[in-house]
Amino acid sequence: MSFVRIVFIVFATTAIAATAYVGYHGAGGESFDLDRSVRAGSGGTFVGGGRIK
Amino acid sequence: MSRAPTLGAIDCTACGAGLDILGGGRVTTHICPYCGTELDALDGYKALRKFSNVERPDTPFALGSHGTLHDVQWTVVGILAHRETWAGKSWEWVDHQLYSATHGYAWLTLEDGHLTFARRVRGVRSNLWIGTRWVETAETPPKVSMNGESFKYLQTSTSSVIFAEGEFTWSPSNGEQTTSVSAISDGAMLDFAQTGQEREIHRITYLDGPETLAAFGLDPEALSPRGVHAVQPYKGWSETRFLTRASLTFAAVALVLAVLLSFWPGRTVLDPVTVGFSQLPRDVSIEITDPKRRLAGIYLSSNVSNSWAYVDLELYDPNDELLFEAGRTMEYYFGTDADGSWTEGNRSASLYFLPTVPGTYTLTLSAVEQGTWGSGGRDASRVEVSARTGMASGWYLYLLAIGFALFAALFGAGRFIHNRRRWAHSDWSDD
Repeated sequence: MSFVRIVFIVFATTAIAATAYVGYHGAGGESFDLDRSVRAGSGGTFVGGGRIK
Repeated sequence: MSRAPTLGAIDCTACGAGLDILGGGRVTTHICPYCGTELDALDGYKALRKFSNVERPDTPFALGSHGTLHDVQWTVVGILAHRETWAGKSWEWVDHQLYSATHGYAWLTLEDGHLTFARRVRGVRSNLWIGTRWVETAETPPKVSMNGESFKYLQTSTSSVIFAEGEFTWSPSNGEQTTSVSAISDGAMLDFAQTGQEREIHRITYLDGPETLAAFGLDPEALSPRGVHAVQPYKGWSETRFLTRASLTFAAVALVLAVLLSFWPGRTVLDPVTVGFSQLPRDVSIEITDPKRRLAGIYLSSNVSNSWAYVDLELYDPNDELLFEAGRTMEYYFGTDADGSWTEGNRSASLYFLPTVPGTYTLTLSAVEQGTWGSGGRDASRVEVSARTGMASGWYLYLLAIGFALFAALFGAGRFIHNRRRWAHSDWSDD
């Protein structure tokens, strides 16, 4: 089997395995409209030093 | 009856020109290239008739040219030019009769700068034939198979001989018409030719032009092929076919896995809880104990009826940190019109998130907005909440499948376009 074929099969198999693994753990499945504002994080360092909401 | 095998040259019995004898014992006719007289090779080269040659066809091959094709030494012993006229257009090509002392006769054809090699097919089953009647009455393009190779109808042509010189195993006559039906496979063509009551099948393959010219001691650049010939093989990167098929296979695998993960059921972590809108705001606890990050879903369903309801949602993690805010609208309309009953919208809604740590998550349902449609609309009064976790996502696998499919399309595009151009020679019409 030629070098090109081996590289392609290795690349494609790795890509599928890796994508299936992260997909199994839910990656890409989150709703796109979830609002993760600064309230969800550290509180931020915005003017006033407080949370903006 | 056959000609004397030791004969090497003759003088034309009409014009006296010296003519080399190049062909084998099956030659019956010799047409003088100088005066066009057809000589009977089986009867002392007696002059039979004058062949009214038009201008000599433009070909780099001449009588006596010899070269090696498919490991066989061939000599050009005769040259024929054909013309086909149809719908105001005409096509011309040149057949070179080849002779090998060990392999008999073959044809080297020059058309639009392309070279092909044809040998007569013998010893095939009697029903291996595509005739014009079959073509005219068929609903789909006729197909035949020979030695495991499948050939599909390409075209029918009726051509006339407009030029002839040299030696032939039959007697060409000026203007003689031959009807032939062609069918092609991936790498060859079968030509079913009928002249009068005589039927012949030839198998035609494509020749590399420069290599063939060089094999005959001619300038490899002497021909400039135009377009794509019907039997011309696709010359792509040697790995193209493999990469196309492999990409399609990986695309299929990715697609199957994507579907599998998309429908991964997970498990229920919150059985349906009904919350009256009058009770809002209200907290609902969701227990997620999976140690690993797995996709979770929250499902809402409301008793909307020709109405809509929008609910604000906040989700807090086990550390009471707000994970996200979102909102969902549930709307459902129905009625009847001239086309019958109809429905629109969905009483349910959902959202998906990735839990950060195991523990108890708190979903806060707050302000609700709602409205009705038409006189039959009814405000919703409650929402039902449930949740699942341990689900998977096929999103990136779908993208990967599309990527592999595009890869296959990229690799296969060249071959596809080439094949389209090959089949552009077809005269088949579904009408």
